[in-house]
Amino acid sequence: MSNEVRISAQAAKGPSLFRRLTASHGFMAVASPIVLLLLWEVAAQARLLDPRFFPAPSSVLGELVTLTLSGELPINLGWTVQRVLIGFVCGAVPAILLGLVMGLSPLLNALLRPTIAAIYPIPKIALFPLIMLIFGLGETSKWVIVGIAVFFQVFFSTLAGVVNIEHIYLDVATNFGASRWQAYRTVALPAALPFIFTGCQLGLGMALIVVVVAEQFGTKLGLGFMIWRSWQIFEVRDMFVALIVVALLGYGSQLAMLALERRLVQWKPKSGSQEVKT
Amino acid sequence: MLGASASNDKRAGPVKISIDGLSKTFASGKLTVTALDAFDLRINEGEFICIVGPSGCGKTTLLRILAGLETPTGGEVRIARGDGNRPLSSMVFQESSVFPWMRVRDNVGYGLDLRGIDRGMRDRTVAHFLELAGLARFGDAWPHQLSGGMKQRVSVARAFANDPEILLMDEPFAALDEQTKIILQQELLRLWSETRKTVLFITHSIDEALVLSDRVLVMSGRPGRVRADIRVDFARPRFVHELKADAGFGRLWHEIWRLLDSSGKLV
Amino acid sequence: MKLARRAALAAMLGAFSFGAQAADTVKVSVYQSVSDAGIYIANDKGYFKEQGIEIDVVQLDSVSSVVTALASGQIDVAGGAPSAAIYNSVRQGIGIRIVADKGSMRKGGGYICLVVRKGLEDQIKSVADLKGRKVAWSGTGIGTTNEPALDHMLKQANLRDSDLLLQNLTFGDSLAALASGSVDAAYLIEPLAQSAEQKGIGKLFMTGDQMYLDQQVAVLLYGANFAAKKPDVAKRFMVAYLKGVRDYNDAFVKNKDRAAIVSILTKNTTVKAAALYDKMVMPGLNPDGAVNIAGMTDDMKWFQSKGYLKEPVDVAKAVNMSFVDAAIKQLGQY
Repeated sequence: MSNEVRISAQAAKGPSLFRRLTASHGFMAVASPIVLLLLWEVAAQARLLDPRFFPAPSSVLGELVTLTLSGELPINLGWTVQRVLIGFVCGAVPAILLGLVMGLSPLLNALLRPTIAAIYPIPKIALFPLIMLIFGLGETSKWVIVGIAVFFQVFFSTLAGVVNIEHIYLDVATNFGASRWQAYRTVALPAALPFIFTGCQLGLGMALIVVVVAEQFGTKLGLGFMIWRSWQIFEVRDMFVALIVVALLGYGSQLAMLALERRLVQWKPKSGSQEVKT
Repeated sequence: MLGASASNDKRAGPVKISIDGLSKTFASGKLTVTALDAFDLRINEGEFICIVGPSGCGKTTLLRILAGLETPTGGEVRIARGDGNRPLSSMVFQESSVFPWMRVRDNVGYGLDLRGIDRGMRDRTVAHFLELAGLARFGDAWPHQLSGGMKQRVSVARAFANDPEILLMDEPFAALDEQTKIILQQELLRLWSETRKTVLFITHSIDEALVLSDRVLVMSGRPGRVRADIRVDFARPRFVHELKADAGFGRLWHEIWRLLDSSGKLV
Repeated sequence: MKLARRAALAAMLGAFSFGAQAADTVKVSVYQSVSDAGIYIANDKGYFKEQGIEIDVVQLDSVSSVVTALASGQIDVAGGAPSAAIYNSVRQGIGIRIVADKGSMRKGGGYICLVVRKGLEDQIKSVADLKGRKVAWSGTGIGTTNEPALDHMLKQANLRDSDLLLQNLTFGDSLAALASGSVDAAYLIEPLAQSAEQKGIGKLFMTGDQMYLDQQVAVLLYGANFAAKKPDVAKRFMVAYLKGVRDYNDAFVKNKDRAAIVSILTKNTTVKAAALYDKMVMPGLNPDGAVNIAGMTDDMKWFQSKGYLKEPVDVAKAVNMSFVDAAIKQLGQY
């Protein structure tokens, strides 16, 4: 017959190496930044990029190693990380508590929501002089500014999480006789947890942005100070080193947050998991 | 016998649930909906009652009032308490209400956990009902790993494990396919036969009502009233495949069908 | 005789300008400070116009912004301080050059001073008494010319900067801190120092020339594009600028035509009160545009020792006096 279509097993070769590599997420996550860096290096060496304002990755890397060995970079990194962590806790804890409580209590929600909504749009950087006035130039003001930036992200995400809880779960809790506190513990908090984590990731990102700006004032330590100081004395390479470390810090903290979420929110279905049939 | 009114059946136990003049009106702005109006009903202890009726006849509202999820706007409900300190009711919903963030065994033990039952007792109870509901192998599974039918099993097991005075079920198997439905009906009967609790079960399936219940209440449209109260006398333990072969089954089915058909659409 | 010569020059230039084409625009960044006097005087008295130049004034706030703008050609000329940033830029090949004086601590012209809080005059009588005190010193930690000044002052009493409780505040914030009592002394640029005395906030303790005589604290900078591609315009600019600076010296050193100059300055700078010009320390502007290369080299080495510079820079390479030389050739020595 000339009119038929054949479906049969394919020749045993399988996809090419290139195909397989580019399909692997892990490989691409590492390979793509490396390719970008190589392109940047080539462009800088070939003077396509102005090396005064875009130093080649090789020279930035060299400077990074120097600063790491001299201890200057690790010390500054440590200070920034410390401020981010403390500020994060200061902001996230009240945000989660408030989000949970306001999500389940319409009265409290009506009471507090307008105030929170009014403060939120003010750029946190603009609040910084006021905060320094109240808390001084030292560490406290930095924890406060980071805390405020984190608070709003985590709060709104938590609130959304609680408000979006399917009503049926709350019905079950009521029917089974859960007290207010038990409803928070067994339904509200676990249901909102994925949202809380999203809020924490956003909050962590904002914390880093805000701390780098805040480190311009009243301190001689921290990655933000390094960036600002390099700009003041016009040392472009140092600025890039600090910027890259900030970027790595941001990336690393997101990964850490994801790992934490995977541990604490084990029940979220991962893509591709199979159902068990009756 | 078949089709006889159930209210003066001397074989029934003492009255468990007494509903008098129950009314419920929902008001939303200018719109008022009367779900129940002067509703009366007596349910005896240990009875398995099925309620069938068109949509909007107030059957879900009735169950939600019994479950403590709504308050009546008129009339009253009295539920007789047995000995011991049992929770009043446990409800099984039509949609999946199994908590996705708890493993199966923690879901089943939810009511016990809330009441602070000691660990050992709780674990034993949970194991018992997992076994009875055919979930013994799935105690540590997460709900997202289960199919719809499995999740409803968990829901049912959870309600039974809580050891309530009455069990309320709002079309728990409606979303499942025919074969799963039959399997779960059989499972439910098995679970129920152990303690013979008082059950109110809403369904749109006449088949299901006849398989499960001692009495079928046919309700009329909004506002809900009991149109007919039909005794279902098949001997227990019941098996679905046997019942379907019984001649009386078809006749009862038709009787209920006519009652429903004349009061409005079935679904 | 000088007057006659100038008149002749003006006439000649005037004759030339009749047939001249449209004026060359030069973008200049200044801070509205008194040390920018040369530019304001040259502009208001028409010296730039004489040279066929029209200036377009912008105001940039930080050294780094100035360096970037100069390097990219967004501005052609800027006032700035010979700070670590300038040396680093030159080292990294960014083509900016120091071309003339715009402020130095010559004798009697030390216009950034240390002011001690009112009431502490008895306790703080010499530099040694500053030990352990809270002092507002603008620009510490970022390699500005204020730092070598501090260093020189402290060396007089064998102190180090760690012996003081230094606070890096802007000049304005320093004055406020002095007034509120949160610091015991403040490094202030005129007229803030004079203002502090007049308001009874503090008393002048030491002027900049007493701290570090002849320190080069402000310079005129040319961008690479400007110097290389428009050398003729650059030279004419310098001629006008020096004329303005010479008028300044006439007014404040020789007391000639002082009122007119003061009115130009009150109009253009932030110092609006004419009376202040009588009391405050006026910046030293060299009428021949000369800069203190030796002093700047010392400061450069000091910056390097403090880690602001990673490698030393040959200050002579950062300086280009050819425009000043050409202007002096035309105008003669002052």
